[in-house]
Parts: sequence; C-alpha cells; structure tokens
Amino acid sequence: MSLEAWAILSIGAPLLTFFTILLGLGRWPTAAVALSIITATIACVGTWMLALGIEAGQVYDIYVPWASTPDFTVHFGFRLAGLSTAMGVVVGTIHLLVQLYSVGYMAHDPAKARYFGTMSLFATAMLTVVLAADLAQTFIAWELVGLASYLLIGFWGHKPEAAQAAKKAFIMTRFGDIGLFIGLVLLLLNLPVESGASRGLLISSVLEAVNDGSLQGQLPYGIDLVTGIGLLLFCGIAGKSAQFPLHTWLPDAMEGPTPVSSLLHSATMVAAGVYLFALLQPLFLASQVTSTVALSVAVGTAILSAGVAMVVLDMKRVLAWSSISQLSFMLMGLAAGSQVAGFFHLVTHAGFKCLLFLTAGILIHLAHSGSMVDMGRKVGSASTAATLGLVVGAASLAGVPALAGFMSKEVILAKLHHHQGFEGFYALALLGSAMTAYYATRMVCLILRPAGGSQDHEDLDIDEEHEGPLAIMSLVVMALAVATLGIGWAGPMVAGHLGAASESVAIHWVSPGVAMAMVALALGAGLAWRDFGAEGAERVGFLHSYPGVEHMLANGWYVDRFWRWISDRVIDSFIGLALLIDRGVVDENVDNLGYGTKRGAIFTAGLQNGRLQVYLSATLALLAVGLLLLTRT
Amino acid sequence: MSEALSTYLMISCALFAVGLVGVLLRRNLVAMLIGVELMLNAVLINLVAFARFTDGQPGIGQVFALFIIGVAAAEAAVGLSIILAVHRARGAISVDSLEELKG
Repeated sequence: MSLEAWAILSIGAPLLTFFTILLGLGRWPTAAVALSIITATIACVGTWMLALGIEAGQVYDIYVPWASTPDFTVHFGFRLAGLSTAMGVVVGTIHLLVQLYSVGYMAHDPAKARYFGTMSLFATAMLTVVLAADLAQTFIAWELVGLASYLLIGFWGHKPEAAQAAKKAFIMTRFGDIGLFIGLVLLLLNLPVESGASRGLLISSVLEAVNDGSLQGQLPYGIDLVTGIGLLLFCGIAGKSAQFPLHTWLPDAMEGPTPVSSLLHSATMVAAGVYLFALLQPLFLASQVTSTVALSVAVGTAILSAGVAMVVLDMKRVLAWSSISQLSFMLMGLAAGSQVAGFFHLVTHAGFKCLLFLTAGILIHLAHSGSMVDMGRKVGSASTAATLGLVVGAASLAGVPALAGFMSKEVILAKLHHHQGFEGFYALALLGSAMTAYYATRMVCLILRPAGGSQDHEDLDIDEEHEGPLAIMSLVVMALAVATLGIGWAGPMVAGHLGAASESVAIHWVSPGVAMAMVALALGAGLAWRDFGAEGAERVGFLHSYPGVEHMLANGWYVDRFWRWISDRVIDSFIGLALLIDRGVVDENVDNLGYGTKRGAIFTAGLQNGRLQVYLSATLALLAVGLLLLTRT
Repeated sequence: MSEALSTYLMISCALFAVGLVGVLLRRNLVAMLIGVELMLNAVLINLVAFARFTDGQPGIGQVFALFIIGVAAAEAAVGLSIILAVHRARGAISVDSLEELKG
C-alpha cells in the first residue's frame, strides 16, 4: 500500500468509528468497543507503516486544494517527514494502549460507547494535527483536539466539577488560540508568493520561507514580523501545552476518566502544543526574542509546577502538575535549539506518563480514592502491576540513570549546559529536576510505604466482577512498564528518523553535566526519602514548616485566583459595558421607534374627536392660511 | 360704480360670515343646514354682483345663480333626508350624537 493510503487509513479509521457510534452503533456498547479497538489497531499499524515507509530526511508532501479562492487556498493532505511520522507512531501506539486499558477501566460505565467514540475522535484529530500538510488544516484539527478533550474531560458531566473543568479547559486553551489564529493570519498575509499565485499556509513553504530568510517585515509599532508571529503562535502553544500563565486548566482536567488523562497528558492535547513548536522550530529560533521568551516561560513553568507537585496529595493532580513541568522541559530543549532533544523527551514522557496514569487508574479502582495517603493505606503494594508501573514510571520521571526520563532529560540539560549565555536557565532546570526527583520519590513513598507500615488490605475489593477488567488493565500497565524501560535507548533511532546525527542524543556518561544531574537527583530523592520514606519519618514534607510557602504552592501560586479575578472583574466589567451599550444604545433606539410610533398614533387618534365643528374649523383655518400664502405673492 | 360693487361684496361677506358662524356654533343639524344655505346664498350674491358690474357677456352670472339655486335645493333635500334618517336612528338631531368615528 502506498504511504498516502496508510495515512488516510490511520486518520480515517478512528473517524469512521466516531461517526458510526454517533449514528447509532452506540446502542450496542460491545460492538462499539470492539470496533474502536479494531480501528485503533488499524491506526496504530498505519502510523508504524508510515514511519517505516519514509526515508530518513525525506519530506513527502501529498495534498489537494480543499477550499480555493483567487486570494488564498486551504490545502488538505499529509506532510510525511521524520518528525510527523515519529509523532504519529507515538499517538497511534499510546491511543491503542489506552483504548485497550479502557476496555477494563470503563467496563461498567453505562455510557462507554460514547466514551470510545469520543476517544476515537480525539485520536483522529491529533493524528490530523500531526500529519497535516497545511497550517490551516493543522488549526482545524487543533480545535478538534480541543473539542474532543472538552467532551472527554466533561465525560461525567453530571458531576459539577467535571462540567466546570471541561469548560475551563476549553476556554483557557481558546485564550491561547486567539493568539495562534492571529499569528497564522499574519503568516498567511506576509508569506512571500509569486505574483498572481494564491496564498497558502503549506507547512513546507512556511519552513522554506523561514529558512531562506524571505519572511521579513515589520508589524505596526516597529515589531519585527518574525518575532511577532512567533510570539503569537507561542500563545496558542502555551495554551495547549499548559504553560504559564495558561496552565491552570490541566490540573482540573483530572475530572475526566483516568484513561482520558493518560492519553491527554502523554500523546494528544498537551503534546500538540509541543509538537507544533517542534514543527515550526525554525520560525521560533529565527527570532532571538521569541526563543528567549519561550525558554523563560518554559523554565519558569517547570519550577512553578514542580513546586506545586511537591505538596499536592491527590495522585492524579501530582501527575498533572508534573506533566506541566515535563512539557516545560520539552519546550526548553526545543527553544534551546535542539529539535531532537525536545522531541525525544516528548516520546519518553509519553511512555512513562501514560504508564503512571494507567497505574493511577488501577490504584483509584482499588482504593476508591484519589488521595495518595488513602492509596497507601488501602492498597500499598498489593497489586503487582501497579507497584511495577509506579516504580518504573516514577523512577523514569525522577531521572534515574538509564531509564527513559533520564536519557531524554539529560540531552536537554546538556543542550542548555553547553549553550553560551544559558547558565541561569541551566541552573534553574537543574533545580527543576531536583524538585521532580522530590515529588516522584514522595509519590512512591506515600503509596508503597504508608504511615504505620502496610496493613489491612482486607477491604480491597477484587471481587469476581472486577477481576476481568483489572486483569486487562494490569496487562497493559505491565507491557507499558517494560516498554518504558527500553524506550530510553531508542534515542539514536529517533534522532536518525528525524534526520539528525545520533550524537545529538548521545549521553556523555563521564561529564560534569551528568554528575550535576546525579547530584540533583540524589538531593531531591534523598530529601523526599527523609521526609516520607525513612523509618519514623513524619510524612508531611519539609515544606510543612513554611506554612506560607506551602499554602502558596497548594493554591498553585494563586494563578487560578488571578484568572478568577480576571474573569470576575475584567471580563464581567467588559460584559457590563457591552450590556450597557446594548441596553442604552441598541435597545433604546428600537424601543424609542416603537414608543414614538405609539405616541404619534395616540396623538393623531386624539385629533379624531368626532366633533364636526372642530373638523370644520380646522379645515377653514387651513384654507385661510393657504389663501393668505397664495395671495401674498 | 366700483363703490356699488364693494357694497354688494360687503353684504355677501356678512351673509357668508353669519352662515359660517351658524354652521360652526350650532349643534342642531337643521340649524347647521340653514347656515350652509346662507353661505351658498352669499356666494350667489357675489356671482350676480360680479356679473352685473363687470364687462362680461350678460346673463352668464344669472345662469350660474340659477344653477346654484338648483344645487342648493338638491342639497337641502339630501341634507334633510340624512337628518331624518339620523333622527330615526338616534332619536335626536344633535351633532353630538354622531361621534362613533372618534379615535
């Protein structure tokens, strides 16, 4: 089969599932689940075939004009290159694993057909973002990703928090998308074209224009064109990838089913932002300002969110804040100029974060609570799969050498380390990874070494009804854990696929950089062990002795409160103003027209008083006036 | 000669004014009809006087006067029959009883 056919198949198969379930298959949940598993497998195979089918370093542009005017054209099609196909593999594979896991997790949910349909839409949208040939197409799919995540976060919409979280995710990312949209329009208007040709946003031509420097110009107020576009596009990326200050939707997005979080945090939604950054990296790097802003935002967000993850007790929330922090690491690598570093971290993170979330799903299933303290008390190390997943995932996250997280994070750190003038960023990134080690160790200790040791597990309800689903879930988790162990060594392969030298991901084991990372890991993990793991530890964390700091972190640095203030004050007063204009100007005019007509009618009706004499007098008076006017001339 | 014409016009004007006041101030329909007749007669005097004192073809003014008398007779007949109908319908012949069409 040709590449094109595989691409259509991988995007089309999940879409078909979505529509079939939408159009009525939802009445037979088992059939719906079976169909989604089949199409997820097809999509997964398709993405692998794409990745294996292209030659490294080659770009295959396959597209047709979709909406065409003399001024501009929107194309639909596929741009198959190293980056897009590698990302496609990540999406396809994680999607398949999560769908398999969901068979167990959602086994008893009455609305599971809707769930599987929406998950398929999610995969279709994300694969379209990844494989799109035209930035307009990317944008459409980008919004579809937003829609699907809205539907999934609010899947249990009967819970007010879930509905709230879904709305928040949708609106916050929309904030960023305003910037993205304006940026794309500016790009469309300023992209050099041959005279007479219609404008378009083909990714290949955008990258070409950036690379040969023909994208030049000034925006109003003396802003450089490339800088302006870069910053606007970065707004959209910050919204999607949950970077400061648009990150607050991600921790709340935990309200959805756990497999949704797993997919959303690893391969879709948040990864879309990082992917777009990686795709248009030359555009961002072309401007010193944009790359520095992106790097600062990323470093700031990494520290900030790692700090919050150190005090939160809900396991999924810890993972959410850690996702934000890890996404920042990816952006750091990309903004520092290494596509491979950032993308490789995206791949490894997709693996271990997906693993951690699926593990969290099992623990929640068993403990009936999201709190890590409850999990430790009720489950502990009772489930082998969960223990394995937790240990492998957390060690990976913390950056234990030779595991996935370490291999990719070290590349990013090395990139920052060797970059002239980035010493400050490097130091902060090291601090960030020490904090990562702290909260990862804390998570493991709280669950596997609960206060008072492991004890009564008799209330663990693994009854007949739950055994089957749990077996599926455990199987997926164990498979993923094994994969995560190996994925760290796939660096050279990923680099080769992206057309970069394999040295770009090589780890220099005996170097100051690795030593520093080790120190950071030891510090973070050691501190967490002292606080939570050791015999007789108080299990409250050293931050507890600084109530001010702890309170601030537990409240997410008050950023949520800031947005609440924005929405309460700024947006509400804007609405008030709009209301005033609507009532005072628009409504008032229409009202006056009506009232005026009515008053005029009452007045003229009053003249018809039925008195013959009055009529006659009026007639005569008019006649007299007329005569006078006539005779004056 | 012209002084004589103005005398007739004065008389005609006075008669017209009397008729007008009658139409405007009386409520009784018959009285109003009389007022209208007076106004018609004022015009009639005007026509005859102009015919007499200007150099027109003799007889034209008189013919007009005869027409007006005819019209006035018809008008009186129509008016009186309307009044009769009103009286049958309402039992009164005051204009105040005819104000259904007021707004």
